[in-house]
Amino acid sequence: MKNKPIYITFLLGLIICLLLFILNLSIGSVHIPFPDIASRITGKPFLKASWETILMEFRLPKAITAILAGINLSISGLQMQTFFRNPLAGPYVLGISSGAGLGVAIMVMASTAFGWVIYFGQLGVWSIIISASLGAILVLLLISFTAWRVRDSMTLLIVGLMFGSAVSAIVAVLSYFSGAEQLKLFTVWSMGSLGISSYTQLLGLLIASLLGLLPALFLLKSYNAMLLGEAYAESMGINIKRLRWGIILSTGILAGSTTAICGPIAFIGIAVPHMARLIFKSGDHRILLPGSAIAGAIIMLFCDAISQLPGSAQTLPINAVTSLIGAPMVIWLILRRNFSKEF
Amino acid sequence: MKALFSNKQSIFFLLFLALLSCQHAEQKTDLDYKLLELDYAEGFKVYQGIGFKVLEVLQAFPGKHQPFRYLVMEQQGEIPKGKFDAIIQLPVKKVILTSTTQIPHLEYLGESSTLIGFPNLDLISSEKVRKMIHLGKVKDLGKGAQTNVEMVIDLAPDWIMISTLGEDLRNLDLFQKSGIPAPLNGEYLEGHPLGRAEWIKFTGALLGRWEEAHQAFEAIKNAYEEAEALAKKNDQTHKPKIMSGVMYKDIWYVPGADSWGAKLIQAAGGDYGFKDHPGTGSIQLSYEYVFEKAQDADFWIGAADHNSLEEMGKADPRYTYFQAFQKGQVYTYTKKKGIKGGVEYFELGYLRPDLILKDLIKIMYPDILPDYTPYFYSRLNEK
Repeated sequence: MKNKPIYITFLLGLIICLLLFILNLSIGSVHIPFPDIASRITGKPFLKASWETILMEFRLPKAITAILAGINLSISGLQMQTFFRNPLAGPYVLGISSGAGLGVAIMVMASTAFGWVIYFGQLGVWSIIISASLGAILVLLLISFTAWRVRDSMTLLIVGLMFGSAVSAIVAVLSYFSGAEQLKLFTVWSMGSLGISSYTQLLGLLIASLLGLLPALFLLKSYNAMLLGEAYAESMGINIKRLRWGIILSTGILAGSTTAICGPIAFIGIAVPHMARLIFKSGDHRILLPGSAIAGAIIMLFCDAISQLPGSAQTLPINAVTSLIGAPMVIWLILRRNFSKEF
Repeated sequence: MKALFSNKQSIFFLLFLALLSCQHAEQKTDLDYKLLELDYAEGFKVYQGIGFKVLEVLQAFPGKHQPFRYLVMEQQGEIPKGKFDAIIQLPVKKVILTSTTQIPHLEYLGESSTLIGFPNLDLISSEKVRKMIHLGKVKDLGKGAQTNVEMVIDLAPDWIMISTLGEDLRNLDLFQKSGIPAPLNGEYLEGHPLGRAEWIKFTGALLGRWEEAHQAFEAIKNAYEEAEALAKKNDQTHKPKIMSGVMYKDIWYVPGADSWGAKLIQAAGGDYGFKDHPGTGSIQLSYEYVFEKAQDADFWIGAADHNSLEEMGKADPRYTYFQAFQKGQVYTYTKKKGIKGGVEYFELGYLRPDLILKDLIKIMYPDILPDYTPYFYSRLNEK
């Protein structure tokens, strides 16, 4: 009885997600009428050949990327909030995205210094995913060690900010000495973008997402216990060590691979889990995890739709849109209610 | 005809005029200079005095600023009165340049041996200068994004030529304090390709090689105008459609319609696909838009530094959907490199727009210049 509304909410979420997905396919700089899109979905060819390319090779992978990025960032944010028992934790805030950025910066810009040839091509996708994930996991480890030593959420945030700054400084030094072309590549990357160049890249992101989700799914039950503290979780017979490593791996791969492909995307990781808590009015991770996933996908699709500036030749960087939407949302959440209630 | 004024009145009037003109002359600092006409450049002016020249840089970096004035003393003599940002006494023996585009100026003026410092020597492709580097005569000022002021002061050049976006102007004060003239070069802001080339006269004046600079520019100008006339004479009822630029992630960077590159394409008789997008720099467009606009372009001119179609297709499969790509009509200007990998186009291109123009004409209308081999541009996968 009690669970019924939840199913309805999920169903609604899925329907909204699907609608936004189709909307995303139909808007962009080039106007493709909605009826044409609809008839294309039913298998009729387009009137113009260029539309086919734009839809299949550009908009479709972009929309799928938006969904994946939304899911990954939200779930890594949710895990971090649970793990650190801190409502303000998130991959962007705690410098995980910067860590991934450092990994990419070293790949892209140090290639000037070491004479490596790297491009965001078919083969480049794994090297960039792995280097970003490693960077993310490195920062996560540092932060985790701090978190286990200092059991204070404020300190943790400050330390996270410091790590973020330190990493940005290293990136700045790298930028200062790198060639114009590399610099441009990295700068454009850091603005965030969901435009993915090929299905190979998309497949890379998809595989990485599944890899990152696995530990989270296995540890689902333990998360609920974690909210009441590690000591409590241990008394429930949960292997804390395994849980820690599981969370670090999962968060690192999810945030790292997404950052690698899309660039740093702000606020999704921190804001979406709170939205899910609000919508589902539950602290149970068995509900929150899929809930955050759907909410994340919806928000990302929505932000992407805005960033397309339908009908104009220009687009906005996705990071600007997520920040403009996400930052007020977090502030509103903080003001709205006793934020730390569940932590 | 009745006189308008009585004698007395007219004397007063004349006196008044004389006073006015005195005042005027005082404002102009009692200098007697004459403006030397330039053909295309709008960013600087040159005045000739007796035994000296005054260079006025009106546009040294984007945005509004007071003109910068440099006095070049061509003989030993009294320094004329007036406010100058720097005073340069010829002869000049040691100079520092900061942009590769200024390197060919020295070569064309026969003054390569004056170069004693440059940031990031690897960028230079000129063979003459490379020889000097090899002999250790040119000091590397480092690869950083900002000028290494200490090294410059230590080298004590007769002047250092600076190209700036306006971000490091405080270095000018430092150079001024240490007595190093630092003329600003604003060639990259010139709208007309020949305007950029004419800045060789600026360098010429600073080196005491005005005549040589004048001759060098005349030759370039004549070659350019000749080529342009050829392209105009040609039947241009069907202009080939030209696309340009590359993608970074999913943002396409193309030269704006008023940019140097786009102007050269139009001068060569090409129909530039993005002519509705004004801008002197590069503009950002979405992939979709570019695809819709330029999918059927005949030529793709200026595709970053890709080495082959295969590599381009690997770097971003979405390049392969363009007709120009499918027909193998993709051209880059980055093939010609110095020994250390400096791209010659970025060095010589500003000074020799005539070569770029001919290259483009050759690509679009091969029959007009039958015996010409492109200098900068090469076709990807050209067997």
